Amino acid sequence: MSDDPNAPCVLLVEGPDDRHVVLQLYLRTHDDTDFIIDDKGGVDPLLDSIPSEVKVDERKALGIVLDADESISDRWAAVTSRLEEAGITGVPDGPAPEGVCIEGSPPIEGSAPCRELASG
Amino acid sequence: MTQETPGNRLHLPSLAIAGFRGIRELSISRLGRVTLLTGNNAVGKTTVLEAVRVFAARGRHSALSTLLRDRDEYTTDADDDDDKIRSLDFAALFFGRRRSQKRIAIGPIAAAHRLTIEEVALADDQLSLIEGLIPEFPSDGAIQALMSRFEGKEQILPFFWMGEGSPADGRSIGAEAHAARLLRRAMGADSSPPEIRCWSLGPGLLANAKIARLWDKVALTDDEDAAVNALRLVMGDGVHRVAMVAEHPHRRLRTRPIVRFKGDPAPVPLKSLGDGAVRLFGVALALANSRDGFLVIDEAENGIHHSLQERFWRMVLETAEANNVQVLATTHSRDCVEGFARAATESQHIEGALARINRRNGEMWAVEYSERDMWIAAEQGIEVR
Repeated sequence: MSDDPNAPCVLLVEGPDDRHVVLQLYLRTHDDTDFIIDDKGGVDPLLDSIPSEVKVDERKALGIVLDADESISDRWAAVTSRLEEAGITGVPDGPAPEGVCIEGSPPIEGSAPCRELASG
Repeated sequence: MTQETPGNRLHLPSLAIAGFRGIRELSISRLGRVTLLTGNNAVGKTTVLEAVRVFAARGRHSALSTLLRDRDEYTTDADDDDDKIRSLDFAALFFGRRRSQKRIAIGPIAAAHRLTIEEVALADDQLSLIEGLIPEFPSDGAIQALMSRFEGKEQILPFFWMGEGSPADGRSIGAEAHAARLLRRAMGADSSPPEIRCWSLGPGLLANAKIARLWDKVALTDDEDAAVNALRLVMGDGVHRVAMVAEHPHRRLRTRPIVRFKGDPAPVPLKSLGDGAVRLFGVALALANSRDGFLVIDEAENGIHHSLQERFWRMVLETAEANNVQVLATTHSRDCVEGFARAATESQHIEGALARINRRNGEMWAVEYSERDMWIAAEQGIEVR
């Protein structure tokens, strides 16, 4: 697994616990990851980073894992407003239990292997 | 300081380029007082700077011919003796080098303020006007012309193709510029829109002669202090004074800048102080010389140590704002981008902007960052180049 935070496929998480849980879940069904997990050190730095993370050159897939234990709609709005700021269109009004995957919106290019990186 | 007055409004609040050199179409929705452009090699960053220079010159012949000459854009042919003859290849100004039915447009996104350039056929009276006034014009020569338009004002820009026996390049370009002036006069003396001042700094270090030219305009003014202060960013507060000295009283080209340090009786050549000192001093002089205009800097990071980048950009932002200069610069350096991001965020009343130019499959687009986003990217180590 690469540790370059500017790799083509990145999963953003809030902290070390989330990173560990996601990694272990993934490794139950895979030998290795083809994406990197970037621990942003808190929910605010993660939200702040979304527009710039979306715009990294040749980024193929960006996944976001966030806790929404207080208000799901507020957290969803916090994410979607930053995605829209970065020019991502077609974001649904609310999350889905199986995760939400937005494909093909510029400026993220190409068909991303984002089945692995659904947010929820 | 943040209020917009006609005096301090940016000449280019946004930028749209079409049909120019390697750019079929590109737009950047927001430029700042200082705008930094990143992107891979050969995506067209330098072409964006060239477009700004052409816009500032309102498409004048001199700006177009300088650009073509700097890029070795000549068409060549051979005369009877097999000697090469050359003429500027104005087709190279156009996207894809195909000038038929092609049009260049450069300016803010608001189309009314764009400069356009396209090929035109000269009327018979215009042709005979040129041929009559340039006696050496060969009978087998040809004259082609571009028309530039800006805010309703038009200029005709003749380009000569001279067959065998044509004058040397330099004379031919001089003759073209002369003919452009004659045509302008014939069309009505006031028909050309005023130029905007625009200085350009390339990737290399400034030659002494250019430094001396820039210095002439600032000597004994407040701008002189600003330039010396820029030098202090690199060399410390020990820098006392700067002067230009001539090796020979009649040879301007031999002028060289010297620097005196406090407590040291013997001045030293500026160029002995390293690339960073020359670069910062040159940028500060160019900012002073670009008042109310543009300054474009190619590969801005060159010569400047990474630890100085933030201070360098603070100087550029503050001086550009004070002098009402709009700066566009390119870089490949992450340290440069981070220093710029920090300086721009700190200077809250001065607008900084960052755009990465992307090119894939012939298409170009700009990925734009707000000041806040570039600061977050700098803090978190997110790649913006």
